[in-house]
Amino acid sequence: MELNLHLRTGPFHIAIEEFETPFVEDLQRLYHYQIAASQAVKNAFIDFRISVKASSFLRRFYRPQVSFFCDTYQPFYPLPYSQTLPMFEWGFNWCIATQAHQFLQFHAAGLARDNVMVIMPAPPGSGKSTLTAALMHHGWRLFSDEIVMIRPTDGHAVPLARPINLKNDSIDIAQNLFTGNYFSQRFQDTHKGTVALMAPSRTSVDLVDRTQIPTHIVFPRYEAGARLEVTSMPQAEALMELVTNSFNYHMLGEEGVKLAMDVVDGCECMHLKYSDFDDVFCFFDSLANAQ
Amino acid sequence: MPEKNNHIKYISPSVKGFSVYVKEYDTSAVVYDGRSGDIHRVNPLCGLLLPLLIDQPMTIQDLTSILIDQYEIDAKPDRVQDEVLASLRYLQSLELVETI
Repeated sequence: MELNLHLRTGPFHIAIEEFETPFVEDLQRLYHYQIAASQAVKNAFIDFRISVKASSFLRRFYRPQVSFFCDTYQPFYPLPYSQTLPMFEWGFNWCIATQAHQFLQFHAAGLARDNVMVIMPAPPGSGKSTLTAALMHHGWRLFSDEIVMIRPTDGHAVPLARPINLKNDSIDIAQNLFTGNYFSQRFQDTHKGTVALMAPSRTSVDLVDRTQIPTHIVFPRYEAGARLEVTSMPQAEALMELVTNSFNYHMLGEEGVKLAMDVVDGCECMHLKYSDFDDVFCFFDSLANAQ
Repeated sequence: MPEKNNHIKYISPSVKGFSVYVKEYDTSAVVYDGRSGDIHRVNPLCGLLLPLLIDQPMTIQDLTSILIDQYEIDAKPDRVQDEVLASLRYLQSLELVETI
């Protein structure tokens, strides 16, 4: 259906021009505050014009599929119709990762409290998104659970405050523990397994224009039954890991690498092994209280 | 591969207009190669040698002398030279130095 819905998430204005009707309500609830905020900026420059719609009229009925479009470009093969909302999220990530080169981008989560801003790069399966959801529920401000963007002019991290992408077992954990947050329906059999989205907190969206200098780089790893273990990490190692997790440092060339070096120079870098959220909250709160 | 030869000189490709940027850390150094866009983590000695080769070509003996003088290294020159050679070999494998 034609939708023409405007969102503002951090520095990006997007127009969702078409979307499949059964998923519109979920979309509107996940981006509730961003849609409200966008009413005031409806005449702003639109960074991305997005449609997620059936591949063809017939494919609404026969083995239904949806396709993602950014303007008229279709970067992915279609997905099953039931994956409309995850496809929007993954496509939006693609838009940022491939086009927003005014920022140095890392595949990482970002959270802040007071003057502390933590970047958490981690491979899939490390529990990054669950930890991000837990910290947001605990009062930390969400920058992103997927893409941390650094502004070259001043080295500040720029928030996005978009929904958190939860997968498989972490969905039950999050829904049981983080009550009061909006969760989308579950999307089965995606290439990441079962997926559900958790809306960003109101505070995260309200403060989305508050950029911050990163102060810590934490590489988290969930290990069932493990006691909290924090190990200091050499800056050179952290830099290599961070750059490995960058979507676009090669696009920015020497400027991008020097910016990544500046980020690491300004941060305390560490590995974090955990299994218990209460321990993690104590640790993260101690970072915030130490500043 | 590099040889322990008095006449062979080594140089960084930055003289050809490509940037090579070195950042030193406590226990290692990180090098950015502007030609490929790759970054490499190297040992601290590599981090010392590479900037010396950006402006002008040098022999192993030149490099060894500079290191011994600059850092007041109290070791036999042959031993230092072996370490320099090993580091040059590594830098050459990364195509960060070449012989001329």
